[in-house]
Amino acid sequence: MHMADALLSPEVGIGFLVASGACLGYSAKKLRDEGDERKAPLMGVLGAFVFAAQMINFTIPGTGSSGHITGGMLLTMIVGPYAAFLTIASVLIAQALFFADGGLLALGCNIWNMGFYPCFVGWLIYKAIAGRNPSKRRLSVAAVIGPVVALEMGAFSVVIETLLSGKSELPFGKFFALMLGIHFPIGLIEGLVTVAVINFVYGIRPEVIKVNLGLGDAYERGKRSYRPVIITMLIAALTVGGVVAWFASAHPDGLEWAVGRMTGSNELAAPHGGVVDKFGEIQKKTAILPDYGFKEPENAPKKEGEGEPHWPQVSGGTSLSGAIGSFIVLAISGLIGFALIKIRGKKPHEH
Amino acid sequence: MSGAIVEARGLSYTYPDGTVALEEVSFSVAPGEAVALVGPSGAGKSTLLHCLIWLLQPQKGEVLIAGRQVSKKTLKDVRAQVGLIFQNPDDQLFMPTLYDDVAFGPLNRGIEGEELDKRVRKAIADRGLAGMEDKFPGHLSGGQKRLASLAAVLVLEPAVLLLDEPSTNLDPKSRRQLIRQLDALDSARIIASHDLEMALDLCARAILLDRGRLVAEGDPAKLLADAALMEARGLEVPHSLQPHRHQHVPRSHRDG
Amino acid sequence: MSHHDANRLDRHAYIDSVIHRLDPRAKVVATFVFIMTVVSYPKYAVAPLIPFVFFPMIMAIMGFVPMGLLLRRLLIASPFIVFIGIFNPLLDRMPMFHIGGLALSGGWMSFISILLRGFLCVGSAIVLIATTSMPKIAEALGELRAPRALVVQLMLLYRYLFILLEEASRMSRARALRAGAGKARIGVATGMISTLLLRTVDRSDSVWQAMQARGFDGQLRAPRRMKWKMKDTMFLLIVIAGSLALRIFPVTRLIGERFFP
Repeated sequence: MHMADALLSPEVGIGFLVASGACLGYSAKKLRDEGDERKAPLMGVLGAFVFAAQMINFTIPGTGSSGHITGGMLLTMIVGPYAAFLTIASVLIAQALFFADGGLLALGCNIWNMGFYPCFVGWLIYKAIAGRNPSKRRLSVAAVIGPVVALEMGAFSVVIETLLSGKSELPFGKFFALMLGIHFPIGLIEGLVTVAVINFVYGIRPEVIKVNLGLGDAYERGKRSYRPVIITMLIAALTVGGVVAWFASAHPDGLEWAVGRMTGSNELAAPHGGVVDKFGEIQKKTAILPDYGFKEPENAPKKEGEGEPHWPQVSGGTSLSGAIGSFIVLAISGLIGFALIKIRGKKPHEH
Repeated sequence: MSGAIVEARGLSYTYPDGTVALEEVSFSVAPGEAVALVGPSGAGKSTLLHCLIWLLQPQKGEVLIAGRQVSKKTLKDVRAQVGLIFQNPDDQLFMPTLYDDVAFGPLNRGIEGEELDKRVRKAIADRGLAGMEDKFPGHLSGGQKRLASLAAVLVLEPAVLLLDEPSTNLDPKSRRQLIRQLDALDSARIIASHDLEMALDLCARAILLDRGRLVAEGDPAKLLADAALMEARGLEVPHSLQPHRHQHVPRSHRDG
Repeated sequence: MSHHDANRLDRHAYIDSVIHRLDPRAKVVATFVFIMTVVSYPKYAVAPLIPFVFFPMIMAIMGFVPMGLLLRRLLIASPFIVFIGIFNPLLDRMPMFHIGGLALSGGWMSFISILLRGFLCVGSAIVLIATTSMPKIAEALGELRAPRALVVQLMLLYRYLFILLEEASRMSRARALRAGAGKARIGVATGMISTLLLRTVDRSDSVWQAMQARGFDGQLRAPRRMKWKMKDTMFLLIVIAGSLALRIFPVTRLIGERFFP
């Protein structure tokens, strides 16, 4: 569920960059205050571990497709939320700036979606459910619910980010339903794998997780019972299923309905629907956010924007001269490209 | 014994899981001396080296470096005087460039700027790695990594050098080069190794460790040639010391 | 991107060229400004985006970026983008652009716009990666006020990334050879992940000891500072000015009008 630059608007991108950046700064500060230098090499290698672990694909029983874990919850259970967040952020940054997976502008969104929720919300869930000296059962339940909630919140965020950016036509309801639906089993499986790994690690090197998770005699004693986990999974499945069904249904989009009430009209302005136009109307009236790009019919005169748009309005290239100009520009770039290749000289060796 | 640069007295170490790794190990090393630390796998050679600079803290016994006892207070100075070459160079070369790795030690001791640059470049050049300052350690060959670790440790000009299986995984040429370089060093060297030929080439004294105890000590040429001793301790007499050079014949060549 | 390709690009980042010698901070900021400008266009913009191809193209050529690899990464468009974007032509059918007797709907325009943005943004990212090694990017981020802990984290991650990927790869291959065809069952995969995790923790112990042995005091400092030169200023100014100019003036349309008024 990596967000891409191509689907983002500058405002959403920057907004989430700021949010993630603030969170990173705060986490770094907390780690500095903690002063545990031992964590530095651990986090570093754990970052590499996350990459490697994501490479280990397994078949998902009953579906035939394969999946892998993301590792956020696992990490937070090993090193705590601040270190885990920094590590996951570094993994995502490396993915973007080393593997070119996931955009640069989108980094803010991705770090938020796939770092903030598993590490912080996941940690809160662990503390709330497992608390101090948890039994094996409590720990299992917490470790399963954590990723489910985190992934669903992440999926939800992707939908919101796409929506607010206004480059896609997807209607909120169905998109939301789809994302939620897909990420539920993914979260579940991640939770189960997380539990298994935690138990395994405790068997061999308990000190890795003992202090952080507050494990004590209750964990040692406990028998591993799957019942609470299964019950949790069923309840979660029903909840998510219900939400998915509501949003996928033929009923008007919950969000559109709410927005319609806000703007005082229940009719959608454009035939292709979408909440974007509604936002466009609001923006026009308040001129807070720049233009979301209304469709401009071919022959309409260029309007001067009401209120100051941040970015200049440019015609969407719907004219013939735009098309012709495109080919010419491409041709010129091709020529310049060939010329440069001739001029530049031989490829230098690795130094 | 005064004058010794390293002195271990009654060192004992037990792992958290209860395994006894070292029992009452005592020995000393003179300045500039090269000592071989030999023994079967699991004898405690690595553990001993780690205990000398308190990477593992011995439960009993003490270590003196240049006459000063190793303690929490003296630890920082001790670690500047005693360098450890780890078994796996990848564990030791953790910075993004060779330059950064070599600079790590001095930087942590407050050396910076021109002075730092000079020392780093010299340390790298001394190991024959000049020109590779900006190389990513992951891109270096096995032999180069080994030399890089050496540079990273020698830049602090330690009086003592501890080496943990330094010739592992080296091709013959790199191994030769390493031995030559180790031989030319002034610092005292304690070399833990399975490579007994190298021990013979480099060391004036050998210490034999088995199951955490020091069982023998002396001239490597004599100690390592003692077949009975070697076999009893799970080792083999190195080829160059074997009386009749009987050749092993591969099975496919036997019985005509 | 596959690990093989990433490896190639990583190696490539260490060669010497005009582009490679530019200050990493300049390249990071320039790439960011470029991407911001590209995504700032309204959703139906197609023609205005075309001239932006110059930036990644010139950088790629002067930086000797392997073209085959670059084009391959671009053409294998992110499935997510295509999956989301393909709904546009399906949902937005209002005709918008007429040429001769052919009519292109708004949905197609926005879809093509998304694809173009994808090419431009991913392309410029790949060029950045191919001409600036990861540690340099990390250091640049540090200079641009990213927290030091994050910079250090990125460097350590980069250092041990391929080692760990190798380990995971070896484990996977060993399993595959013993189990015959097919992917791992979830139980087996969990075992591999657990083993990998334990090895990781062991390795971190060794690295920690190595750090302590060399006097680590908690601060991983940078021994060499980057030197900003005039050419870096020129480069950055050109990219910013160019991006702004393209954004403000409808260059493509003007060129088209000039030739076919």
